[in-house]
Amino acid sequence: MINTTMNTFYLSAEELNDSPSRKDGIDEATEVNIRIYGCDLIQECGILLKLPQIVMASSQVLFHRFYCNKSFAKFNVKRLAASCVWVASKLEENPRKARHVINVFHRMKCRRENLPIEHLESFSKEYVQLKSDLINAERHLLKEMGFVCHVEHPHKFISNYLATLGTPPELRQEAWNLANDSLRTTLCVRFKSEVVACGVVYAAARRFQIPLSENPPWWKAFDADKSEIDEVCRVLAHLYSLPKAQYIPVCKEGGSFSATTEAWDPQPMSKEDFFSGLPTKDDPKTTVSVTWEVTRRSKDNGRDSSYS
Amino acid sequence: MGAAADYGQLNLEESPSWGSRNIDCFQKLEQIGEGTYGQVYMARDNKTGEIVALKKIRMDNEKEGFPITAIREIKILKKLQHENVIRLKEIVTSTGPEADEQAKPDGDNKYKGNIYMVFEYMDHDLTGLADRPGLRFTIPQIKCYMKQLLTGLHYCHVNQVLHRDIKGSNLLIDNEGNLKLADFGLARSYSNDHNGNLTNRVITLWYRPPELLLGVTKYGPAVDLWSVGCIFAELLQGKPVLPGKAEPEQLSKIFELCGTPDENNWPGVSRTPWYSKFKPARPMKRRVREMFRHFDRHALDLLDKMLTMDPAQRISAKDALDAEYFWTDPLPCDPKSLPKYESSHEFQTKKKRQQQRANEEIAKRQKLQHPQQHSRLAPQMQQSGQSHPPQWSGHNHHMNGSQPPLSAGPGHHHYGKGRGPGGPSRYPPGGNPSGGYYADRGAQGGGFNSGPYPAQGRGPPGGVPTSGSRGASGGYGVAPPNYPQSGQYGGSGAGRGSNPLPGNRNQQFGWQ
Repeated sequence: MINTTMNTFYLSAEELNDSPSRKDGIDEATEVNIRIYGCDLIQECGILLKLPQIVMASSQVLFHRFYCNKSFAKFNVKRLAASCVWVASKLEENPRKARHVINVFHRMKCRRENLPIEHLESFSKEYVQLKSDLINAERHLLKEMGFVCHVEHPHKFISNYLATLGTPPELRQEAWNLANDSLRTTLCVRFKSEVVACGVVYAAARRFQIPLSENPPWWKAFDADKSEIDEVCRVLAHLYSLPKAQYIPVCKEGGSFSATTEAWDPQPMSKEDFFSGLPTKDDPKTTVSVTWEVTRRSKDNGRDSSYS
Repeated sequence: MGAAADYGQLNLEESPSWGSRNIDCFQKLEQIGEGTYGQVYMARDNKTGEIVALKKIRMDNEKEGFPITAIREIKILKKLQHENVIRLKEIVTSTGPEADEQAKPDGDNKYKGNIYMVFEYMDHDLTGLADRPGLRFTIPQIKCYMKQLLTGLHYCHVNQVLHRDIKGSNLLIDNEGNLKLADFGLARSYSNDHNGNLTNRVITLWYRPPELLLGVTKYGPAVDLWSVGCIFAELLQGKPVLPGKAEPEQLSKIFELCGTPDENNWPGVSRTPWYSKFKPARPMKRRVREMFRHFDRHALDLLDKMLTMDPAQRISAKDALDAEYFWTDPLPCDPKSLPKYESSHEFQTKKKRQQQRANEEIAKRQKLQHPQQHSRLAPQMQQSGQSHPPQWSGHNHHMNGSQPPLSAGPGHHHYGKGRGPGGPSRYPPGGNPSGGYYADRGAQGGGFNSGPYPAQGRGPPGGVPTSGSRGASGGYGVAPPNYPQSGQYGGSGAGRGSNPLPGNRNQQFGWQ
């Protein structure tokens, strides 16, 4: 089994393709969809819990790591997403109570299923079940991580790289957005954060048509290869080509968190101009990020890209 | 896709995988520590025969799941690799026949198992050693321990970790004379640019610096240096130098020794939260040099700099290591040259003392107070100072200097044992420290509100509306300028509905 306990937890594409979920008959497209779905849940939950973006980022990394070792057919995605947020909130020093995490997940569920939003009574059977499931999922998660959940994000490197490269400020926000989005993919279990950072800087620079030194190639300075950068870009482009992730009940296990068949407004992610290099009609506010101070704050806020 | 195969570093060959082993891999030999959180055991690794210390992380009755203190401790200890910092070897679990491949474990809704942190085994802790009847530290020995303590602490501070519970029983010593910092259960990462507030309810009362007692919530490595100063003085003096029973008394003891703070000797002190509350009626002079005039000059110089009231002026670990004290004769000795002691720990010494007293009481058939109630009320450490022979006072009638250790067995440790070690009287009620370990158990207790959260959230720090519509303070609405309001990618459902979040940021569980 894969050792998730080191600071370096990385798999090859082949290994990833041979995932436990695949062995349970979940095809690649479905797994990709469920991973994105889980990350969406984490992001939304984090926002509702007023967590800084770093918590969501760490939750998503934990989430991806977990499903490298375990199958979506055996561990319900919603339950695990909830426990990832819970653990990461502690890990990143912004702890949230179980009660609040459960409330938020309950609320998200009601909203998605167009159910009336009801207060979850502390002594209700449903709440007790949710709580015990949350605790158990946490235990599974921690054990799978070897109780060591060190996470390093590409964000950390982006600002340094861009400062070194002397790029215009709008690039920073763009790269930051891409880095946040990258956490919906399995890039974080395939490449070191430094490499993902190079990839998103590359993609962002392409998008803004900002030339960066190719001779010698700038990424060499940061220990990345062109082929890796290309792969990061390819994965991101693929992500943006996908429709909004839907819940697909693949987990054989029923129970709390999972009993839903919601349909939430499917909106395709129009990202067709991702690599077009054209400036978008984004609100100008969204692409300005001048100082380190501001960039740091964007950890809390730049939760997603500004494509819309 | 194949292109990526080579880039990731695979860890398939790493073993044993952390957290994967079961407690059955160890044979528990004896309990060597006890605290509110659970127990510490000495154990033998069945495979290698190695002796280790197992510290139990109790999980039952844990309302908030795996304790944040344990998460912190593991995270920090994984980061810190230094000869003067205790080594966390691995984590093991005792889940019994675990239903690992199932989303839910069998039967009931709880895991039965416990989680243990596996540490390298250490023979002594400093308090246990110092409490040994008849034991007197030599000057080179004290220098040796102090140097190691400061080296380990400097390493922590360089790595931006505050220990926040430096005291004798958390300084473990092996029979090679090595001293290691242990018990990072209260430790925190900090960064200089991080303006977050930290709780001031840390550090065992006797070792707690004045700024924390005055309610400051922004602080740094200087808090640990105060504790070091207290330990230093204790080593030289042979007894704790600031044994307050409660926070106000602790502060007045500090004032009596170090003088009263004012804007001259501590700029900004009058703006500390509780300054007006604790402001002494009359100014007092600093008496550190007078009280400890029998110490040698260099020791006194260093101590004076450690017990500086103003944290900004207090000496750093790095500068302390450069102090004359460590570079003048007698030099710190080589750890290996130190005598090997039969194992001892505060836990053990305490137990021993209690037992003796109990026996004595039975013999006398007197209705004395319960023995536990006076284990350390009076100064009990032997006078390791210059001229006095070991001397015990108070109720320790039998504890004369020649008393051999009762237990022939291995020592009793406090690998980050629970707070409230020492006799029960050592940490008086109200002094907080004994509540510290697994702070989030009984999370509703006092003390939790005192650690305001860093105001780094997306929304305003406090006063989150309990319910109601997502107004300006709702999650989505408050992205500061410059930040995208999230594309449709980010969970389009989040913009609607009301905010389910009750509570206030300042009342979360867990300490900062």
